[in-house]
Amino acid sequence: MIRFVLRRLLGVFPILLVVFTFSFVLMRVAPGGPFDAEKPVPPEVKRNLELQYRMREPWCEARFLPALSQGLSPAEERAVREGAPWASRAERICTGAFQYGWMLSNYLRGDFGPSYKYKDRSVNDFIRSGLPVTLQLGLIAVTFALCIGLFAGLVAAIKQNRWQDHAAMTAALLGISIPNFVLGPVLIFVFSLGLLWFPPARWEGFSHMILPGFTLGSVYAAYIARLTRGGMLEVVRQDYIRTARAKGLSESLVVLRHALRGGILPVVSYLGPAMAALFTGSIVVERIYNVPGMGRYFVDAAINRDITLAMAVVVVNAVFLLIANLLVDVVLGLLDPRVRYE
Amino acid sequence: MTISSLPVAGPPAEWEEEELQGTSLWRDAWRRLRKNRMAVAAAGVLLAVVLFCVVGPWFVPHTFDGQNLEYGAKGPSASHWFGTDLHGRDLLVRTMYGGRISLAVGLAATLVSLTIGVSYGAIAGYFGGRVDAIMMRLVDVLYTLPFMFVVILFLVLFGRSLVLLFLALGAVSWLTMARIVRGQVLSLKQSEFVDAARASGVGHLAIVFRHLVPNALGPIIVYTTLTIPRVMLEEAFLSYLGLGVQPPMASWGLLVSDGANAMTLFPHMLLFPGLLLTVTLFALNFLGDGLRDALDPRMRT
Repeated sequence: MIRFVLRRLLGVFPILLVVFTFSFVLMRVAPGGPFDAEKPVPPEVKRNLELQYRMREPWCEARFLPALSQGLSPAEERAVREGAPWASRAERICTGAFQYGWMLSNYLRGDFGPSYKYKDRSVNDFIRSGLPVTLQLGLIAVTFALCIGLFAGLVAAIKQNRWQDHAAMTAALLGISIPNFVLGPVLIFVFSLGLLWFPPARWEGFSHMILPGFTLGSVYAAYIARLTRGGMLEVVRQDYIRTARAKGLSESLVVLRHALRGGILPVVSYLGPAMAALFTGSIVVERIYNVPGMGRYFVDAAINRDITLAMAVVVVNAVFLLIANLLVDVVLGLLDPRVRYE
Repeated sequence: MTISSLPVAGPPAEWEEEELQGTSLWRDAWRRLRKNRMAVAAAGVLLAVVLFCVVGPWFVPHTFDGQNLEYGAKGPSASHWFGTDLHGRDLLVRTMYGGRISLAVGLAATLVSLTIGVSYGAIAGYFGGRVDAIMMRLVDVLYTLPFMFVVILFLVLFGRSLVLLFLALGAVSWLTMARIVRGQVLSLKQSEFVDAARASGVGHLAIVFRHLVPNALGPIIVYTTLTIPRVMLEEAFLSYLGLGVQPPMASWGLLVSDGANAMTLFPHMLLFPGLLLTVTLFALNFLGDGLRDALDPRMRT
């Protein structure tokens, strides 16, 4: 068991490296730089900025395109690059390699660097303030989804093919089909603006968390209900359930003690991929309810081309997803004696 | 009386007739699907939605980008059945055009994911062993990654074109299809007809795509039907964030986003596109479930 966890933890690093590399390459090959949108700054200032962010590497320039070292205006630089396309390409790759190593070593030390857009805040500041909010939101959504989903799924399985079953499954299908960006505004309209039960926005206490949690969790409640029902119906046919019944145990004991443990296995294994979907959903839900979490920062960062921040969010999310999936695998092993850690 | 003079009991007449007609998987499935009233209703709703979006604009005397700023946003009326948006554009025709785009992107992206998923899964399942182990391990890893973040980054950095949108969506939603096809191929490849094909000198690729994949068509169809609503949802999600189609074009996600911003004053702007999107997704999911029950009774839970 411990060996399994350690081995899986070791396996996490190559995956993270791939995620890091992929987003880094995306950032490098994307047309346009982070300082393009601002009002034109003198070439020396721009050059110093780019040197600070390691978007220029003096060594590479000296090696492949010595003309650049003098600090040229964008037009002049373009002319130099077009005059020597291969040297220009080589210089780019060389600089990229240096920047990659520099950023990777920073990431390993937990330093995500400065934000390109907000000069007075580092990426770490954003993550430190956004991550707890998103995790809170996710936790509420999962708790809610588990409560409703397990209950609905159990009822549907026990009352198979009766009206309770049909009602629960139709509701679940509806839950899967209503997009959260339709559900969110409708809930705000009804419960915040109409009934005045909950605040429509911001993140300042439990009452602020209910609507976002419900909006984010409803889809997962629906999936969990379907999986629970399917898992329970599968398990109920097994011999050990017949044995339990034959021993004369009460039906509720059979269902809750014997069947549930096997029946929720599909739900547990679904929770891993569901984490990825939760992070994705938080993008929209945080936007709808104006919640200052990672999803909101991410979209703003992406649209502002604040690439260091966007990239850090992707990598941090990947870390959490991988940990969540590892936990799911461990729990799956504890619940299901057939799973062997190898 | 000799034994030979006994009347020979041939198969009863009904049998013979049945044998002649035969009953294929498809005919069986069709029969089961027709019995599922809800699935038939869902198919009807879908057909209506498609007709509404494709044919509808010809019958509406407004254009999707014709503005009337003085008129502004108003609720439903005799000349504007769905009302108008903040620019005074007719919401009925915009919802139809939005539907065209949402449906088209959903179909195109599903086609992309279908192509990748089926090829990937079939190849992994057919070759088995270490190839399979490595390929499916990769799928497991990809499952855990937050793809929409990468898609968003991609769309922001490389422009917000429609083609890029459905390619990106298709490229990240083939994982489950690959798993399903792999499972099917894994169990089918031991069959005699594969041995027969191999014995008659058919190449690997032809066996995979001409013999194995057609036999896995049932689950492929089912999962394709269920992929369309998922991809449409993702498209709407991206359009909602402003990363999909750009105004004055419309898609359901974009219309819902506009509607959500204006809902306190003009709830009709959220109601109609939101309702249509939800109904379409619901019908697609329902039809997908019905097809699953019809084509693969074992998967029925």
